[in-house]
Amino acid sequence: MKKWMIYFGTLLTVCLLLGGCWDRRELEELAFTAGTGVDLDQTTNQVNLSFQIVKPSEIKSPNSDVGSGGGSQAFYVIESFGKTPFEAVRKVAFKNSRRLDFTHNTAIIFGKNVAAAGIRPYLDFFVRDPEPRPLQWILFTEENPGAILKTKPDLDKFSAMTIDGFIKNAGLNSEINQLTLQELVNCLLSKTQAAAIPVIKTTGEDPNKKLVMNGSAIFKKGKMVGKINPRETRGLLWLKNKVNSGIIVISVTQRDKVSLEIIRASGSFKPKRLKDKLIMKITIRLACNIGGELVKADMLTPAGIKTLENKAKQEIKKEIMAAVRQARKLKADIFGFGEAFGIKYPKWWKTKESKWESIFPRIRLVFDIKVNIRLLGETVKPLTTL
Amino acid sequence: MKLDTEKISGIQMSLLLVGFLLGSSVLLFPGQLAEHEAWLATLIGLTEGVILIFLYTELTLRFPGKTLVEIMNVVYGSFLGKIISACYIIYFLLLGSLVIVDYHDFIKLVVLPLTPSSVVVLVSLIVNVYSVKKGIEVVARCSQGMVIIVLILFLLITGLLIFKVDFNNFRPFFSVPLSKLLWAGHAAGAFPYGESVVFMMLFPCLNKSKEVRSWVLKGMLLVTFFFMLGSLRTVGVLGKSAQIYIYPGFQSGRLINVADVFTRLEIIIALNFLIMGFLKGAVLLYSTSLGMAQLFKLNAYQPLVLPIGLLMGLLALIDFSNPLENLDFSLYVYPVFVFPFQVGIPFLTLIVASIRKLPQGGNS
Repeated sequence: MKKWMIYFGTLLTVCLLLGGCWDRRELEELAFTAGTGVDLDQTTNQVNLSFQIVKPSEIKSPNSDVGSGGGSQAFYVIESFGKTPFEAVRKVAFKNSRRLDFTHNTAIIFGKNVAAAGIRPYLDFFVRDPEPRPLQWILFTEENPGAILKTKPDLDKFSAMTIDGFIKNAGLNSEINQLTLQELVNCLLSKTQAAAIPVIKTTGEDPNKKLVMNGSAIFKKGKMVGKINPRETRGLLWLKNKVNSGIIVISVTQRDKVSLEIIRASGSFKPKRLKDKLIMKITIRLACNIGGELVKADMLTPAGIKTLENKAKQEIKKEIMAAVRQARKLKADIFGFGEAFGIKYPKWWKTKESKWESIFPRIRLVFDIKVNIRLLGETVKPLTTL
Repeated sequence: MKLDTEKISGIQMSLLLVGFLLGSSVLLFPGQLAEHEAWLATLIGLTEGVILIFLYTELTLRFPGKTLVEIMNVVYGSFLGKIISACYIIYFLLLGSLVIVDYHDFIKLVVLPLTPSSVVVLVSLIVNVYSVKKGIEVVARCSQGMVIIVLILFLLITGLLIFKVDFNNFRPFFSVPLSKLLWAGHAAGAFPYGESVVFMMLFPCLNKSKEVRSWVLKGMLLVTFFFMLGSLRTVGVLGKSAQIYIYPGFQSGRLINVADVFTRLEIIIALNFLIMGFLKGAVLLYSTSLGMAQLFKLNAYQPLVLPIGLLMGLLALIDFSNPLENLDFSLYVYPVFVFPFQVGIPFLTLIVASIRKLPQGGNS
């Protein structure tokens, strides 16, 4: 019995010793960033980082009026300048009483100046440091990233949550390219692949500014070369097999429109080379429902459905071609065609890799699209006078 | 000698080998140099490992109940044998310090960046010294529980990442230049497979000494399965970026995200590494101490454990000035450096032993 007590006593003492060490970080000593903005200050050529820092006390109180203007905000934004990102991070200590902690950062937003200068050197910190997670979202804005972080959302406690929501719900329209830090790193490591980073912007006047997602920015070798709109982004996502759901609007006549809801979609591409002629075979399979129609003439007949399917095919092809046209214009391989050729023809690829920019726009596309309309919803007739 | 009266069972030997080989390789998967063909390099390494195991067990079967140090004494005579044994003991000591370095680098980077190095090293040593002092039986029994837990966790992590594996990351097949692939294979053969030469210090502990080969081979095949799983998972999930991270295996764990609920599970990989690192360190500490005791004909190895442990720790602190040196050493220098220990001397010993018709000749 005595021995047992001695053991127990020793264990308890050990517990006391294990409680603290050099690396303890108390919750109340940390400032958790929810979003980080990265930009360059053009006049001084310094890195301008802005951090959205969460106020934990405001988060947990259940009665705080959510998002109503005025009242206490659940976040504040700090801007900091430095010659390198890390210096800017540390200089926050001059303005903020608590040490920054990046482990819960949900988004990194790049500004216009840094995009023009190339994001690689500014991204390195977020990959090298053990704190930032590889699964945080990457975004781009043409405005000041700090302004994006400062906007007050209506529903969420802070705008990083809103951005997280935007991107997580990207599947509803499939017009936002969900891009994590990890994927961006892989894009940057590739010699040919360009990255499509979702674009965020604000609308409205200052106190009531709201966030909106708007297409993607194309980054070639870490530098921004152009933008594509939401429709072109979906064209890109078809090929990346990232389309989950979304609405395809088909014009039957000038005024009559049918909206198809995508239920299941899969997309893939296969490269083919005939001597120096490059062909990319694009295969899209799609199941959709009729979500609503505004058609005077009844399209809900077997023959009408066939027509709709054909029109949907044309529409998808148009979307893809729109994306391809932009990519050709920018000479940016956002689809990963180069990688696909590299996998299939490794030897040939070695000789062409460096010239890919000029070869890429000449790839011919062959489409194989199958659309299947499955369900009609609760009605079988349109709302016209019977 | 009365030094190794401890006995461990076949399955314990197998699992101890699994733990030993898995050791640091949980984070740095074998065959890393072969980029997306690491799995192929692992297989090349396995071939090398199996050949070496046949060599080692052949020696052990030839001299039943004798450790590496004793075999050297018998085959090369007491003077030359002692020199060779001393070299081996230094190798084990160095290897032990390398394990502690890996341990330390990892903990410093990921978990405790501000804690002084000496504390991290000392804490990991305390466990090793304590367990080895209690005897190899204790370590072996630990391995029985620990290795199985680690393997289950390993499967769990791999299972959670399986849908993130992109098979395009492995293509194009056979595109890595042959010389690079072979070097990567040899590097995998040297680290970790060839390190099982340490087990020649442990083989005499096996209770059924005749079955040593089958148990060791079983362990080696089991661990290869997990190596393959690990490298396929890591490369499949990370793609090209597997080459830029210092701990790709750990990095792949950071990508786990199941419905925003199961996230941040990479700490399990860290846990695996810490447990396996303990086993590897313990085996090396035991082998060094036992070898030293046998070299100087002491009655017990236990008094040597603490000083040798501290020596290992000190060596670990001065081995490399940064993790990059460590990486460079283990990928490019180590495979050459260990060649005599893992291949040269055992092979030579076998030849000399058969020429001298040992052990029938003399039982010195």
